[in-house]
Amino acid sequence: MSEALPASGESTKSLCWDCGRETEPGPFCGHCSKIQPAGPKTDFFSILGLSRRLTIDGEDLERRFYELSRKVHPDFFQGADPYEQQLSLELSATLNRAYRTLREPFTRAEYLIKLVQGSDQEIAAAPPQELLEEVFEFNERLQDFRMEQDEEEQRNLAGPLENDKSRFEEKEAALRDDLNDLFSRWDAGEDTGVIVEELRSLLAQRKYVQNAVNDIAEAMSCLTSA
Amino acid sequence: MPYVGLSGPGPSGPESVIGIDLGTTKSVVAYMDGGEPQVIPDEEGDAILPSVIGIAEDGITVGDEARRHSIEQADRTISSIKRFMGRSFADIQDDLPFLPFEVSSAEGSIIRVRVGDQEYTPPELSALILRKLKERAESRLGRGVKKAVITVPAYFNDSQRQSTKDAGRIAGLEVLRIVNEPTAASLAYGLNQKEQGLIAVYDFGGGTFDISILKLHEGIFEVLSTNGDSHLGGDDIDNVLIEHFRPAVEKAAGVRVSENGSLLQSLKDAVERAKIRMSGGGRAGVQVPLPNGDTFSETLTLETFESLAAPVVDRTLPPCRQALKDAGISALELDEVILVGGTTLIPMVRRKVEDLFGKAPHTELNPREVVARGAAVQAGILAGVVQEVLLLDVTPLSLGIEVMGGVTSVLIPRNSTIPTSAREVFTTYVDGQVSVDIHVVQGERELVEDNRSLARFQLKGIEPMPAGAPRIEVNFLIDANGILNVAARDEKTGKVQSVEVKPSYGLTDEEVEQMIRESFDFAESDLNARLLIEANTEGETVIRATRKALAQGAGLIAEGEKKDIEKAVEALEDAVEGEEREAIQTCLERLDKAAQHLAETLMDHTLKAAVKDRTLEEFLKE
Repeated sequence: MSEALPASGESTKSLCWDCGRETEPGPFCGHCSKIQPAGPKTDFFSILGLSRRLTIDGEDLERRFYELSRKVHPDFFQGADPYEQQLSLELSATLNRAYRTLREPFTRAEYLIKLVQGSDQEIAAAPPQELLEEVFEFNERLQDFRMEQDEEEQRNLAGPLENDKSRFEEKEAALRDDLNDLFSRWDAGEDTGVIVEELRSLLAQRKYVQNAVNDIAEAMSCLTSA
Repeated sequence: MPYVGLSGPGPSGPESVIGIDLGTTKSVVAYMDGGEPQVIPDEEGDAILPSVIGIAEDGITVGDEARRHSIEQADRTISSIKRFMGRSFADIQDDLPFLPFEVSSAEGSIIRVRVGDQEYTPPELSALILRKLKERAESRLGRGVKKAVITVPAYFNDSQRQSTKDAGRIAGLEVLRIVNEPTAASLAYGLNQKEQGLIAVYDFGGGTFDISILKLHEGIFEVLSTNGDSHLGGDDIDNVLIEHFRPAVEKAAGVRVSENGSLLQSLKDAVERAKIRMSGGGRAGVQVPLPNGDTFSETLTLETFESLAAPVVDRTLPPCRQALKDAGISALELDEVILVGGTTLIPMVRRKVEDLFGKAPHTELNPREVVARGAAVQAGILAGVVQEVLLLDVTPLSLGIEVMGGVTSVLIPRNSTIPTSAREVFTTYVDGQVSVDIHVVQGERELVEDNRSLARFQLKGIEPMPAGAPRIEVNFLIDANGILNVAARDEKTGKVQSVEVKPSYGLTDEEVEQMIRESFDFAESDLNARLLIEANTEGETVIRATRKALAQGAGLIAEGEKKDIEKAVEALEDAVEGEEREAIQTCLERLDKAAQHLAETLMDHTLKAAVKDRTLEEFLKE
């Protein structure tokens, strides 16, 4: 489940639960300043006051997060009535998740896909096209390394795996650059459907590369601790 | 003779919220005094309360007094109870050989400590320590204290946090917040020094180890990552030292340590003392009084000590590396390293920390008091006394649910900023199924059995429908205390779904309520006993003072007035003999009224005499 909604953040006014007057979307009532429940159109971008642009300045994001935290954190609702405490708790929880999700470019992209497609479909790991041929050999090397009982032999197998690891890490850096290009194209208003498909494929490759790096690191850790 | 009535100073100013460091071996209470956190010492000026409980047949003692009787009353003295909070019996197997008291547990339930024919759960025992600190704060502040912030190791899981909160409730405290110890320490440091940048807090206490990496920015304390071991501390160093000396001690004593609780306690005390003396370098003697009257005596050299303690200290290093990795920074990027906890007083620990992080750690604040001070700061934030400061902490362990094949499906990853939440939709597997079980676990492992079982939730009252048709949306929310809250509703109807919680190794709400009721009665009778003693003392003092005043001022007042006062004194004497505090108080008030004129007359007289004397003196001088 995600709290995301397919519609874009068109501002709709709602009624304040306390004073009953119409108020703009946001954490507080424009009239009586009481904390408000997150509206049905609240998503991770809108809660931080951002439009759905993918290029995000990290410092600006942090500043927004800190500023909002100072307003909605449960610490500041200790003496408030239980309903306001509950709202502050829920709003803080969403804000914290929004910040974590948007701060990291890959999770930001993944979130955007969910937001645009309105689905929760997991992105399955898929090896990058240009590495497809090497993947088979890499899997064999990893398997051999894991099965090897003799420590001396294992050390000999470690070298090629180290090479695999740095190759995957280079690939991840390249994917990061590609991601930035896609972000710019999205922000420039290119066709949503096309970009989302490209993002999907990029994220699948990244997931594969990341798993591979983790697998190597985990296998290697047995070696150093042994 | 004017005196102050028994009622004492009334409550004034905003309600006090105290900060408590409920430590494995030592506990401290602090409060905010004019924008500065202050620890509250006992009558002897000692801020540190040993977390030791003595349950003798004639009453319960806490702290130094319990500690003093820990050798002859080994099986009635409970120490390091924090290690058992929110734990299962299986978790504490390694501790069993080192315990002078008896513990038991029914299959898959909370641990119970057995003393005589009574059984106590860890939260009840912790509550005794909390109550002692609460009383200490009440004496200092001159008014009742009902609210507190209590610290726990950052690496404490949900059950351990919940148990701590339960302990607070049993002690008559509303626990406004559970705060992580290293984060609390950073608050105490950061508040005064207006620090900015990246800091690491290395917190090695009596029973637990934590490492936290924080980013400080204009009053925001954002925890980036945390790691640790909630079962690793100075106690473990004691245990390796005990193992080192045990064969020789047993040979000299002619009895096994495991069969003699007092001998074990003596050995424990001896190695702990030696460990503390080792911090000054050099060597230390280990003297153990034996049951046969002899004394076992040997020397512990720094070399032996360090070689024995090193493996324990080294266990703190991998969590530090993991925390750095999770924060996405290298040790070189850290601006400061802060040391917290008594075990960091060991020079070898400081060396290893310096090697790991590549910079000398901060030690300006007393590492034993800094956590309580930080808890007081957080208490000040919640009371609105401290402004501009906000702590954003994280959950130390991933939260997940059990899915097909005993595999953990992670809902909330570790190091997520709290509060945080996750939603999941559940359905039925069988036609007509009316309830769904959800098993919630915490930990980083793939298989459920390798993680910590937190609780089993049962969604009840689902309408009978074909398998897969019901859609129950469950919201898992971790609050600012790091404690899980669960709410469920039917996705179609929006109807709130009832959730029954069965904690794996804690107390149910009903059990806590029962204990609060019992402890309330207990606290009532406790408080009454204390107040009666105070009233008796007060009464006796007043009787003595009035008699003296009567002797001095008999000639200054009317005979009838004198008789009235004497009658009131006699009535008070009778009341002091009795057990009724109210009677004493009434008599005190009556005597106060009867003697008021005498007191004033006497005061007046003394004043005049003083003036006269002085004039005479001056006269003589001239």
